[in-house]
Amino acid sequence: MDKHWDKSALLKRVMGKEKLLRVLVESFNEEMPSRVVELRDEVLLCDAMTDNRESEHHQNIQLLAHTIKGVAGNLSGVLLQENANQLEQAAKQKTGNYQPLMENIESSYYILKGLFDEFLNLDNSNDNDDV
Amino acid sequence: MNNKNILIVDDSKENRVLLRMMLEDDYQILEAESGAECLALIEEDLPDLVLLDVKMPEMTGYEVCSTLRENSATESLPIIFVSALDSTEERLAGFEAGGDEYVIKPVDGTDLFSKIESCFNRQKVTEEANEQAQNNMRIALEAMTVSSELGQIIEFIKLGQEVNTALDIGQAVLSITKEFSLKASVMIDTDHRYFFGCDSDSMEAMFLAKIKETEERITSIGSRTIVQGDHIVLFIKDMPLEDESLVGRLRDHMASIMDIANSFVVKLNNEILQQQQRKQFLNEVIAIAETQIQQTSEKLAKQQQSSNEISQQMVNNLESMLFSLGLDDDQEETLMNLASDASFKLSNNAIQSDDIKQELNVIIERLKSMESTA
Repeated sequence: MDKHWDKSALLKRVMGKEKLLRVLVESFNEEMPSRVVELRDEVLLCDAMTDNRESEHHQNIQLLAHTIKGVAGNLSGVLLQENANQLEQAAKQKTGNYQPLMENIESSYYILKGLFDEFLNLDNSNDNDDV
Repeated sequence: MNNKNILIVDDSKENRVLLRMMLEDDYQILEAESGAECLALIEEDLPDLVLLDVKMPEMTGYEVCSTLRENSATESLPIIFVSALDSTEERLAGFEAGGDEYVIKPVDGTDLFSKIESCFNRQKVTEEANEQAQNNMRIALEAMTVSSELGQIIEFIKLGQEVNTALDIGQAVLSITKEFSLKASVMIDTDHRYFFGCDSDSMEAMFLAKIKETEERITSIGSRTIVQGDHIVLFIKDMPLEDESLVGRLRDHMASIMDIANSFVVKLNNEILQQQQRKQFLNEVIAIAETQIQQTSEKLAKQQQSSNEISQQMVNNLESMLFSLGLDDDQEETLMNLASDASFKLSNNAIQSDDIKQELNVIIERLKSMESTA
């Protein structure tokens, strides 16, 4: 099992529907970048505050991390799912100092995105070969 | 593909796309990206099942579910929570909010299909059970209604002790048909023909009389039904044709009521007959008594006249005899006094026979009085 992308587990969950898999990956590429940026901004703002205990950034971070966790989970992006979960739990407890966890998320996100791009390119070239 | 509609509610497009693509070959799919949009869509068109994300901004899946459960139109709508929150507490919170199933993200297609079908099967079983319960309730209500209707008929039977005239019977029949919410008129044949619920010279009365000439026990013409017994005809003008089952019951009830009412009329006719016979008997007794009294009076009068003539003759004879007997004045006076006294007593007897005649006439008057009240 690839800790970044467990493709076989995903294929099993989508009942072997390759087309569905491709649509999901494309959808991830469309939606996820803005979420990661949004989350990073919230983390920077929250960590920059001297007293952030009552800040609504915790709640926003928790919600965004939760969404990323869910989407990553759906696509079997195991490490991104795990890292997002860690940030979600930390934000739930309002621990602050989220930057290190955010870096883990971004790192795993970019690796996963690279794997997805590779898959889409491969998939496209297969389509072209078919033509 | 079956025709079941599934509404997917998730703020994440990727999740909606995943669920849609998993299900769209088998179900009609609708999507909402928030709790508010979900409620608005459901208000417009009720889906067969909702796949509901838990953690959404502004309104959580639990809140959406609770809102739907408070509405009678959606209180039994199958709802499956789809969430990355997989703790026992979260699952319990989902069921507490009114969810039927809980699917954990990442969603496994096979598991999702299994839970959706399980929901539909449970719903079908519930619907069948509800339908059965409604049927049972309907049957129970119908039984209670029939029982209540039979109660009314039993009360009608009890009236048998109280009805003494055709008017009593007619009013009792109209009263019970009114209790069954029916408009009716009645014709009763006793010593006279009586009509109730219509005038005796109306077209309706003529119609009832005409029906009496037929032998059909129950005749139905549209909302009108005629039920007749040997001495009574009931004309119902407004049978509730829209309720077939009720019409059937009412026909049976009205037939029973006519049987009972007819027995009342038979009883009444017997009483009238007995009364007439009693009257006739009294009339005969009076006629015989009057003749007898007349004859007796005449005999008495003749006897009286004869007695008076004999006594007068005897007094006359005695007077003429007295001259030839050579009696002195005192002796003659004594004998004449004896004869006069006997003659006077015989006259008194005539007065007593008049008294007897008067007393016999008192009996005649009593008999006539009985005859008039009989």
